[in-house]
Amino acid sequence: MKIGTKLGVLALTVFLVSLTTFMLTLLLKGDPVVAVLGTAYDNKTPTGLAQIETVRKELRLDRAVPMRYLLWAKGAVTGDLGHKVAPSSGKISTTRILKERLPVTLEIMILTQIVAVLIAIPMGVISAYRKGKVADSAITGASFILLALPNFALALILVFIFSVKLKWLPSVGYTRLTEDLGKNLRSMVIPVLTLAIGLASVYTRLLRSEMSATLQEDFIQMATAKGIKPWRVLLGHALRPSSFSLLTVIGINVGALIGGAVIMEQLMSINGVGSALVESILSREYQVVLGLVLVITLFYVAANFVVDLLYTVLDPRIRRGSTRG
Amino acid sequence: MAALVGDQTGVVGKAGETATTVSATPKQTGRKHGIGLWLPVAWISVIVVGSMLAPWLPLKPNGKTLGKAGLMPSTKFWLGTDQIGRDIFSRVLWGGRVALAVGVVSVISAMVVGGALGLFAGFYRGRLEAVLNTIVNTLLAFPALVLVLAITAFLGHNLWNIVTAIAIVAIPAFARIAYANTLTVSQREYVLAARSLGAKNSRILFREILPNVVLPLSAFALVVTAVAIVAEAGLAFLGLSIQRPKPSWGSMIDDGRKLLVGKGIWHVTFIPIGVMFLTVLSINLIGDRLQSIIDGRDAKI
Repeated sequence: MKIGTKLGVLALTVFLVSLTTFMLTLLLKGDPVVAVLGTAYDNKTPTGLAQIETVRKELRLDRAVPMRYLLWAKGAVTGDLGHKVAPSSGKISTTRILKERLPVTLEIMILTQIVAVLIAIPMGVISAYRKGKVADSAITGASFILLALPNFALALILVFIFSVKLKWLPSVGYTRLTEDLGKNLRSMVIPVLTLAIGLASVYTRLLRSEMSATLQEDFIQMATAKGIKPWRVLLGHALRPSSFSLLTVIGINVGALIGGAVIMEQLMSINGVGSALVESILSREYQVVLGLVLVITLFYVAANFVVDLLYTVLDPRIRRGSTRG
Repeated sequence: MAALVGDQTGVVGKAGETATTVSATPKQTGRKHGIGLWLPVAWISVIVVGSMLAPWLPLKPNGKTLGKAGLMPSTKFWLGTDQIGRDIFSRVLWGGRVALAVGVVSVISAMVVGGALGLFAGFYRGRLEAVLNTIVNTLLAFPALVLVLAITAFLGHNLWNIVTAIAIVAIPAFARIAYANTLTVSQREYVLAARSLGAKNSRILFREILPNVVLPLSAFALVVTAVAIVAEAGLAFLGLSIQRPKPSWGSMIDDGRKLLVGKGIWHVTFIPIGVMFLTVLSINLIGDRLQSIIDGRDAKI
């Protein structure tokens, strides 16, 4: 696919996701004004009625449904992602929520990916190289077992060992990177390790299956026959053509980790984007929901786009336009 | 195939954070079904029978405080008591009913709906294919959690609504798998043979293609079952699944957290974790075996 077409498809995806989110907010039952105001809802006194009217205006409920979406989209394109409307919320803008929470989430995401890849590459390579041997069985077995352990369970086990028993790490909380680097990294250990172990078992399995196919190819035999050392054959010749599924899934997980680390954030009392999203869904702050979903989708889509570009870097055949798998 | 595996993992990863891939490597076939199969089957049977029969078993009531909080397992309380002195054993079995409902009902409904969509799109191609692919790609790019939360916020937090929400989230993945398999199966010689013998589309679809798509789809269904159980537990852990005091494994795990962190009492949290872990592991092991049977069968054809 040409880059232009690809960008078009990605833009379409972003548009459809935001439209779907918008339609989902329409489906929610009950009067949104009641939900937003909560106990402050008051339709008896004139001030109460005035407040209801303001919230209704802010939610654009006085506009036709398609107009509501278009107005939101117009704002989003010009960089206005909306704000909380509940009077008690201080009308915090989505951009400010993102400014506060995105750095935390991005730090977790990046560290997790790095740790996961650092675990997965040696594990995957060893188990593909020693396929069927003890090392392979041990690695495959371990990743199989870890896949059955959801991350909140794994996190609790790590909390029990490292915080409760050994008292090495804090069991909850987050220190900002700008405050104290050491404390920041210590508070990152359990969440990052938990998420990374889960991802690493997936990455290892993918790399193993793709690499064992690559190792059957003629150019590997050729390299081995020339007397190149096994580790150089593995890392220099076999790794690059074996990393396509791995890259795809790393790309998918960029998006998944930004919106989907909610359980981890909740468990460790870390205020990230995922928890902001859940909070805003539960408090019916639709503008914020739409804004956050848009940003999460943009990350998802951008990561997939970068992965597609990386394919062409990794495999010259794609660049020349010939077909591959 | 690479992209396909990638997409599966993506879905799965989003739903439950513990992604599983349908292994693409052919396994040794013809191995005897040893303990690696029967042990998981036995464990699943115990959980299924135990939780199905929970209302009729002579269990202690699951909602009442019966003893001191955080008691260790004993002859009186087989798995000990939880943070407010309820019997963990009976709560684990009652919680199993939730896992069972989500794992069986959600997954089967998603498989039927998604499978049908994928089958038609892969067989008739054309405009249907384009529309379905766009929808599926959008849903796959959509944060699964938002979808589940929005659906449950719309419908309310009772068991069947959770089941519906998880089913809806699982549909695109099934559609994708059914679509990909239909595309390959449609190219096979026996389909061409049936067509040249004058078989109608509906006959080819249901008698030739469907039986060959169902098998990989059901292997994938086992993966999704495991993910669905974990996803429900995750929601319950956040307090967004069926509401307390009704037991779910996820909320039981959450219930024990304070005792774990505060007093180092581990069993209140780790017993439901253990039960869920063994259940998910068993399902994965059975699924893995089923996959290798399919791979072997395909190799023979």
